[in-house]
Amino acid sequence: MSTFSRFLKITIQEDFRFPVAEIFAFLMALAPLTLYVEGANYASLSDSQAFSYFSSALGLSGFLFLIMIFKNISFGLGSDLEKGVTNSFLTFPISRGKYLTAKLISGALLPFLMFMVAPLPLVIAYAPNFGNYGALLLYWAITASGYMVIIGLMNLVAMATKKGATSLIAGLGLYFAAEFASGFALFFAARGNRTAFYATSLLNPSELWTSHYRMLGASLTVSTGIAASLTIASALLGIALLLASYASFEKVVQL
Amino acid sequence: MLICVNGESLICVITVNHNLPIIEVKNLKKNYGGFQALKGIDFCVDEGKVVALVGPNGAGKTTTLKILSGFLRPSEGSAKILGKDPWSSPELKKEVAFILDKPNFPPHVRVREFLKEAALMVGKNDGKALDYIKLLGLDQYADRAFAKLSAGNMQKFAIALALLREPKLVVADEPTSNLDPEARAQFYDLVLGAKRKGTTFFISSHVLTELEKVADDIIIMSDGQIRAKAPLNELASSMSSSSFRITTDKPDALAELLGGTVLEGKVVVDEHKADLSAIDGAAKKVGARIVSVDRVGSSLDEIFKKLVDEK
Repeated sequence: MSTFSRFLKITIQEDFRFPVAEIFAFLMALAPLTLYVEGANYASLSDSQAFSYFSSALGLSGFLFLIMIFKNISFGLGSDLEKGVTNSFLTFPISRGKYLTAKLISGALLPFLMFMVAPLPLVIAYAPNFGNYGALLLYWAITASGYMVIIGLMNLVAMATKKGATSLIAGLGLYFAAEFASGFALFFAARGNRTAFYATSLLNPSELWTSHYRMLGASLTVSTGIAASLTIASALLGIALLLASYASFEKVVQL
Repeated sequence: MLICVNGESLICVITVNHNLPIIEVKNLKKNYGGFQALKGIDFCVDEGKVVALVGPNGAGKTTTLKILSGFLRPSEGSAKILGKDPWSSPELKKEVAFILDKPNFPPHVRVREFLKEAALMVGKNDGKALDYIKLLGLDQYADRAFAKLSAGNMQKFAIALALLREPKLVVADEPTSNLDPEARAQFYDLVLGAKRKGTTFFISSHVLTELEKVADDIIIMSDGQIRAKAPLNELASSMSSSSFRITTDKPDALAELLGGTVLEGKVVVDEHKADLSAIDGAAKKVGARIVSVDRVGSSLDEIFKKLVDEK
């Protein structure tokens, strides 16, 4: 095993302490009850139905994933920087880039796999006529791009504040501010001005697709082209923010 | 090397010293906003030595060590370890160990689990790590999470992690600040043991009397500048001015006449102010009975105070 994988192992031990695995097990045990009712309603799934089904079936998982990234990135990274845990790790032969990569794998990628990917066999199993893998990939892409933006922002906030509690409060503040902004943007969009709606959808592209599939009413329909290009823009913004957090940690952040 | 001058050959042997200083700091400056923590310091640390960095709070010691650890970037100048920039050379940490002033580890990971991975990360086995843990009396805490370890035990753990690497260089910032006297003595024994095996130490500390026992060279800092750097014995002899400690029945009167001070009931007079005959004369003048006169050299503490006060 390399130095990096050993470091990753320690980071995972810290991030996945009690009760993370237990919550995951509970969720998996609970899933058949909720998904059965949900999935049984569909005889066959159109794009719109599949998107709606995934959104609701993975809603609780998504919420838990969000809590995990607040715990691991906003609070965890901020706390490590505050208390000198990062410094202690960096006395080992590991670069700052690899340190951050391990934190992101443990803090965000693994929770994503646990909460957003692992339940999918159950989700599919309870919608027997599913067969719509395009909608599934789209749902993943939308979710991942939105979360990348959030994670990139959380990274930068944690590095700027270097304090666990402050970083968590700032992260929560940013998240809820974005949610409120999104709500206001929808309000204005319903009155014909879509600029704010498109701008806030960069943080949460699932709103775009909810509109696209006319779940928000016919007046707020977004074309496939706009929804796809704004989702790509959101993914690019997420990648840019992640790269910025790497560049910042490797070149600027003083410990 | 063979050099020919006017057809005659001249053999010239040039000895090149390939031993670069293990630490080389040149014109190192560090600003925090408008505050200048380091004002352009220069020093070198040679291989195999124990070098002490001492200074009062705010002198710039921790900033210097943080730059050497790669945690801070210098504002100007350079700090190199084994010829490399610590900020951009994580591979250095295979050969260099750092003991931080407030070491901290992932709070929910157990000591034994961390130790195993940490030992393997630096190419050692966890058995060796456990030996150090036992040596420092930490084996009873091996199954506890770091969150349940005291600051002193955390520091012992950091010391064990540093020394088990058998590094070329140990950079330590106040390594004994949280340790009890027994553990402090043990640490300095470990330093001397590792030094015998060729490990270089660069230690910052406030506990000057302990450093006196292990340090070869000393660097005294205050106000972001270096006040003195020299082998400890040379510094002590060049700076020392002995004093007389006189036990008498009239200390206050004698001290006043000799221009000395009364310390713990004894008159303390600098040797530049009075010699033995002057003390005898003064004692007769005030009618004091001299019980004893001891000549005492300057301690590292006194030298340090003198240099820092001179700024």
